Amino acid sequence: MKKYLFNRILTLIPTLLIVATIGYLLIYMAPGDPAAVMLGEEADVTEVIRLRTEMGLDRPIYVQLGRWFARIARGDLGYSFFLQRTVTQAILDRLEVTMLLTAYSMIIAIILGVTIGIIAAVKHNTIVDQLMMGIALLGVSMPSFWLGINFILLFALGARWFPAAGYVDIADGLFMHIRSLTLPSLTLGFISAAPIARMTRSSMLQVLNQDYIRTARAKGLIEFSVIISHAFRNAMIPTITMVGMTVGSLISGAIVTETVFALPGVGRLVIQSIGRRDYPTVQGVLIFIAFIYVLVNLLVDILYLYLDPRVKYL
Amino acid sequence: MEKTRKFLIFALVLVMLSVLTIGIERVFAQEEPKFGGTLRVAVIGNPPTLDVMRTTASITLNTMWHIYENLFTHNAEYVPIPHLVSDYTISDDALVYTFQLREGVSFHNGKIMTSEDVVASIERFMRLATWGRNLAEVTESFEADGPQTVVLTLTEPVAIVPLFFTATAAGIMPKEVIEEAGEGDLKQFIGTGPFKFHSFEPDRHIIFRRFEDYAALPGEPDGYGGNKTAYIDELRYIPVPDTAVRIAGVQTGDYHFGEWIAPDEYERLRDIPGIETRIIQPSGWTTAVFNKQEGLMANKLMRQAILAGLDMEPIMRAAYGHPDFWRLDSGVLFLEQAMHSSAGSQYYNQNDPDRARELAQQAGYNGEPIRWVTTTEYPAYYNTALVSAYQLEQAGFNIDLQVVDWATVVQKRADPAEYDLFSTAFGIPWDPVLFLGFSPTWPGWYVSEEKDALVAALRRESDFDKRMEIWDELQYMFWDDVPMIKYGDYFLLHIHREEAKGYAGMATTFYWNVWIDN
Repeated sequence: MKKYLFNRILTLIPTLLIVATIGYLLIYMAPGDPAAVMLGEEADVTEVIRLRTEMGLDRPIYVQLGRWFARIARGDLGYSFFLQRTVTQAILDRLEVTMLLTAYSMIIAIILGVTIGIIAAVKHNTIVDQLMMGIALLGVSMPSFWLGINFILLFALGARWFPAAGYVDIADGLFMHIRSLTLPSLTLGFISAAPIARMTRSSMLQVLNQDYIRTARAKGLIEFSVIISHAFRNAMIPTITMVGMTVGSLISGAIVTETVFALPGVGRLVIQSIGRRDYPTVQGVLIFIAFIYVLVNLLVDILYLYLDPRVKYL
Repeated sequence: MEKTRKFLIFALVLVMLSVLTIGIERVFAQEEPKFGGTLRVAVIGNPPTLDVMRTTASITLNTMWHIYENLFTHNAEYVPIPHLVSDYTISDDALVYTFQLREGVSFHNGKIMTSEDVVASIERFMRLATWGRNLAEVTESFEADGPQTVVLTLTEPVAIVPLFFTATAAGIMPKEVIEEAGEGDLKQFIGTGPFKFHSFEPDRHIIFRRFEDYAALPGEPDGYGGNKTAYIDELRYIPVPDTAVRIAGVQTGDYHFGEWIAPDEYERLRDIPGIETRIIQPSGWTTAVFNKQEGLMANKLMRQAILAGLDMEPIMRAAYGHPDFWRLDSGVLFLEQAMHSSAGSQYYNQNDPDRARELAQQAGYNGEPIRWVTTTEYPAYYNTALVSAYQLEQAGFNIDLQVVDWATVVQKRADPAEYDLFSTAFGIPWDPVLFLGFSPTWPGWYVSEEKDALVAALRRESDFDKRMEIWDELQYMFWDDVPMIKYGDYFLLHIHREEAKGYAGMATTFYWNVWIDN
């Protein structure tokens, strides 16, 4: 187990290096000039050239890449001229919003997805099954910006239950904080619930046909106990895998959701930084997201051990 | 009986008077400004930097000018008036300007403004800002002459000296703050304005708070100048990129103001109780700038051909929709400005494809692709380019419309090998001398000795009639040379809640003198 963990952690290094290099080259190759964006509409060409030099953008790509890797090795993600702070600080400033949004969305996605999946499996081939899978299909098909705008129309503008946009810190009151993140979390959670529901349904269907389920029923156990304690527990492994993969889609979904709801999170930081070609920030956030993604998948692998005693890592 | 009648009349009069008194009280109560509260303003995005001298981005200038003040500013008719200057004199040869500064004006750090601060600020302005460098070209010296006097000595007469000092980039800040910044960005944001800077959290907010020791001018407000009062305790700019969310936020009361609202929403919004719509007229004009340095459009006949083929009305309708938000006009300066000119208007909105073909033939055009760089980030830029491309293709031109993001537009437009036209827009050109489109170093590169001579003459001449003569000649040249295509004037839409009072609705938005009537 320890050896496995050590090897997995070791594989993080080349993974992040590959992400960092490809990310750097992609953003570098994309046209666009951060100096011209920063100086504004009326800047003339000489001013732009001066600022490019000041930002170190006039140097050859291998020099810039080399310096960047040297900084990364020291744990320094660089400095953003736009944000007037280090990239690490910029990410930390926004981490609370994104982590909480992702966590709330994940809770909604799991509750919604698992419930829909179980009901659909238990009511297999009935109108309830079709209805549940219809809801899941709707979740997969709807773009998050469209769903978000509609939630705003319905629950902020119509019912006036929630604010249309913006974020309230936990420190400013838990109720207002939850209120500010409800609509974004519902948007993201509903969309992420769909794949979990579909995976839960299919794995539950496989398990429900097993002999031990028939045995459990023959023992006279109540149906709820059969489904939850016997069937669902064994159907959880693929669902957990899907939940782990959903973290990736939640982070990418947060990019759009944070923009729609004007939340100051890491996702919106990426969009803003790409728009103004804030190279250090884009690269820094890219590495950060890759790190989180790889880490969550490692945690999922470890979780298998506790869920299924048959799983052994050598 | 008579007594009863008299009593009833007396009672009726009393009731009517009471009602009238209450009514009058209410009317006055509504108009009486109130102190307090946080004003929340939803804006389109974040400023790229907070240093007003290091950028021309309007989001920076329009927010940060709440903390800075200038030697001069504009009145309600957009004419420069003294602000931090109490008085000034001009020498007979018009080369020496002596400015007396207002006494007892305090910076946000408690320091009293002196001539040293003004000299340091204006020197930085002349080193870093576009307008400042323009002024530096004709400045021999800008020096302190005692603690409350500064003297500007010019190398030649300049008619628009006060106008230069109205630029937000010419805001006055403490000398120590400028020294601390060195050649880099400002590290502290300290001015003399009615609000002081509190904090900037990108993507979250910029917060300004009332400056309690603000040295307000006595009297009434006058445009951007005169008496300024910060009624609100806190001014909070909140970046909300999505226009639909800005609107919804104002409707729900999350924000008091929503800036830059899509004109398509105008009809719906003006019927919503509690929401007020404000059309900001004028705001700017939309354009496509030719690359005059190299390629197809270096040929003047080709530029004239493109201009001849365009019908501006459908172009502006596609870009701005509702007719209250645009108008057709050939003036480089707006109709609302004293120096508006119609010279060269015969070349505007020709809608003559035959003439376009003829001119293109004379230019030797053989259907080569015309590279037009535009962006959907600003829908008006894209829509003007799209409709223009369609019209020009009908006239036989081969348009290669390159749709990219704004960061790519600003990169490409700096390289003359990359494009033939690019889409953009100008704000209010305060004077022809300061009109960006005449700059030989700005992308598009309008290089012309004749034009430069007229701009220089205009800069020297102070007599209005003589200036107009020169300006008519220069604007005619503008339409004949066609350095760019002017499509038409556009107006912005801002919305606010009805409890936000005292909003002036001028070209550049400000929130001093605004109060919340809760």
